[in-house]
Amino acid sequence: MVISVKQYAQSLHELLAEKNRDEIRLLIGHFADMLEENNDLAKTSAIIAEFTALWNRKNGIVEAEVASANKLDKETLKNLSALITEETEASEVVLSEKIEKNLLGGAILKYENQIMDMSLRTGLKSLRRAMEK
Amino acid sequence: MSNTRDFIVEQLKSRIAGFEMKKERQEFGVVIKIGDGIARISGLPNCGMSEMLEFRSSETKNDELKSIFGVALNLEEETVGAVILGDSEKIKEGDRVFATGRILEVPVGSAVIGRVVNPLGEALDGKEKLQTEKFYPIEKIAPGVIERQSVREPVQTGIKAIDSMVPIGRGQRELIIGDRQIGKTAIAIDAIINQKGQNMKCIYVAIGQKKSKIANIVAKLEEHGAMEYTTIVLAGASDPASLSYIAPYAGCAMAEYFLDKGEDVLIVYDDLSKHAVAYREISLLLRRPPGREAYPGDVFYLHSRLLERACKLSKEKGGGSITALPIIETQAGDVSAYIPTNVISITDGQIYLEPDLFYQGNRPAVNAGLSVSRVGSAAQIKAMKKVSGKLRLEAAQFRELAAFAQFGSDLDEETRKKLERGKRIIEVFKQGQYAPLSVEKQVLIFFAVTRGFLDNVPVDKVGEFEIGFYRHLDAAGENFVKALREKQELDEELEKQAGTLIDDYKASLDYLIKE
Repeated sequence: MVISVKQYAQSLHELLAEKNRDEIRLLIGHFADMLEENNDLAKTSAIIAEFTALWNRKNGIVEAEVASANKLDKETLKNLSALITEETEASEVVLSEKIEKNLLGGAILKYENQIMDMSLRTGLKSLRRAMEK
Repeated sequence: MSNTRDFIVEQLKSRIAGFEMKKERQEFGVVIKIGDGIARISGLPNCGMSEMLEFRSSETKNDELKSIFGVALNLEEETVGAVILGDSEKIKEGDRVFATGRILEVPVGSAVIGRVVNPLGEALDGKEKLQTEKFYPIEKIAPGVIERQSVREPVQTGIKAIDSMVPIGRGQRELIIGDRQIGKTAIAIDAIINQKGQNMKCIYVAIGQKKSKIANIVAKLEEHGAMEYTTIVLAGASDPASLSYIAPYAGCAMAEYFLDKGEDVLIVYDDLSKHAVAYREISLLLRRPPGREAYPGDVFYLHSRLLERACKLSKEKGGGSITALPIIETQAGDVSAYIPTNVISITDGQIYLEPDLFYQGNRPAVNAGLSVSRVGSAAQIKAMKKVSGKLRLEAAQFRELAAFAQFGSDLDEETRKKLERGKRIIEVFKQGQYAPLSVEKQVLIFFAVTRGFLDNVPVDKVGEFEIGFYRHLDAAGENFVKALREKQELDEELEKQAGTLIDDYKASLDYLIKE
C-alpha cells in the first residue's frame, strides 16, 4: 500500500498534538523507524514541509516573504505584517526579507498562495503596456 | 505643427499622471511539471474548472509582453493539470502561474468578418491586429427550450442533390459524413459561396487542417466574393492539440455574437473527427482514463455541447439562428464507429457521401437512401417542395431497380420508363464544384425532369441540356425568375410559363430522341 506524503504528515501531526517534549522525541523516533521499514525515507523532506504547513495552519502562523530593492525600515515591515494579519487572520506572521536590486523600487509581498506585486519594475512594465495601447 | 505636438505631449502627460498602478492581490501557483503541451501546477487552491491561467516566466531579464495562456482542465487534490494554448517551450519548471478568474474568452464582433484568425483571435492573414470591444467566453450553456423556435427558413446550399432531397433549414445541424477525399469540404465551401446575398454570415472552422488546403480555400472564397461575409478560424496541423480542442468553441462564440444580434450564421466544423483526436491526445496526457478506442469518457459531451449551441431563437430573443454543418471523416465507410455514431445521434440529419457513387461519376456523391434531413420540407420554399417532394424516394427506388434490371433484359414498359426517368434524375443531380445554383433554377430543372420534359433528351446529353437551358433562362426567362422569387411557389400560371420556357428551349435543340 502506498502511503502519501500528506497522509504521513497528517498522522504525525495528529499524533504529536498535546504531547510534551520527551514524548514528542520518542514518537518522532518511532516515526522515523516506520519510514525506514516502509522504504519511504526518501519522502522525508516532503513530509517535513507538509508537516510545517499543517502546523502553521493549525497555529495561525503565516510565513511570508518580502522582496525589495533596498532594505525596508521597521515601520514598513510592521505595516506589511499588519496587512497580512488582517487578510489571513493569522496569530503570528513570520516575515523573511530578500533584497533584489532589479526591482528598482517598491516591494513584492508573497504569502500563502497570494502575491502582491507593488514593485516599480512591474509598474513600469504595465505603464509601457498601457502606453502601447 | 507645434500645436499638434504640444497636444500630444499634454495627452501623454495626463495619461501618465492618471495612470494607476494596480495593487491587487493575485493568486499564484508554481509549475512543477511541463511537457507535451501539458503543465502540472502546484498551488492555485481556488482555481476553477476551465479557468484561464496566465504563465509568466520567473526570469526577470526578458521583457516578455505577451503572456502564454492555458486552461485548467484537471483539478486534482494537490495539483492542477492545465493545457497550454501556445508554445509550451517557453515555460519552465518553477514558473509562476496566475489565475485570471475568467473562463477562456475570444474576441468577437464584426471585426472578425473577412479575416483568418486562430482560435485565440490572433490574426493569421497578415493583416492588422483584430480590434474588437467584446469578448465572449468559449464555453456557454446552450439556449433553453423556451428560447427556441422551430426551424422554418431554408439554407440554400446551391447544391441540387441537397436542396431537393436533404434540405437544410436555418438553425439545423446537418452532418456531412464520408471517407477521405470524397467531397465533404467541397459541399461546405459551395454552401458558403451560395450564401452571397442570402443575409447570412459564415464561419469556417478548420481543425487540424493543412495550411495549404486553407490557403486554397481562402483563395477560392475570395475569388467568388465570399470573404465579405466569411470568417475562417484555423487551428492548423502544426498547432498544439489545445488549439484544435478550443477551435470549434471559439468559432461558435464568434457566431453567437451575431446570433444575439438577431442575425443568421452558417458555421462549418471541418472536421470533428480531428477534434475528437485532439481531445483524446489532451485527455491521455492529463492521465484521464481512456475508454472505447482510447477516447475519454466524455467525448460525447465534447460534441453535444458544441452542437447544441446551434439553434433558431424565438422572436422574443431576436430570431437569429446558427446553422451548423459538422464534418466527420469515416474510415472505409464505417458509419458505425464510435465518433460517427455519436455525432449522428446529435445532429438533425446527415448527408452521407459514398465512394462508389463518387467513382461512378456521381458528384456530389450523395447517397439518397442513407442521407436524411430531420427538418425536411419544413425548410423548403413551396415551389421546391412541389417539384422535389418525391425525388428522394424516386432516386432511392431507381438504385434498387437498376441493380435488379441488370439481370433481366426483357422489362415491361412501366419498369423501363421508371429506369429511364431515374437515369435522368441522377444525371441532373450531378454538379460541378464551385458552381452553386440558385433556388429558382433548381426548381425549374426539377420541374423539367419530373414532368417528363427530359424524357426525350439522351441521358448523356442531359448535362449539356442543363447548361444551355440556364443560358436560355438568363436571356429569356428574367421575368419568370423574378415572379418565382417573389411568389416562392409554382402556381398554375407559373407552371404554364415554365412549360413554355422549356419547350422554347427544346425547339432549338438537335439531339432530341425522335419518337
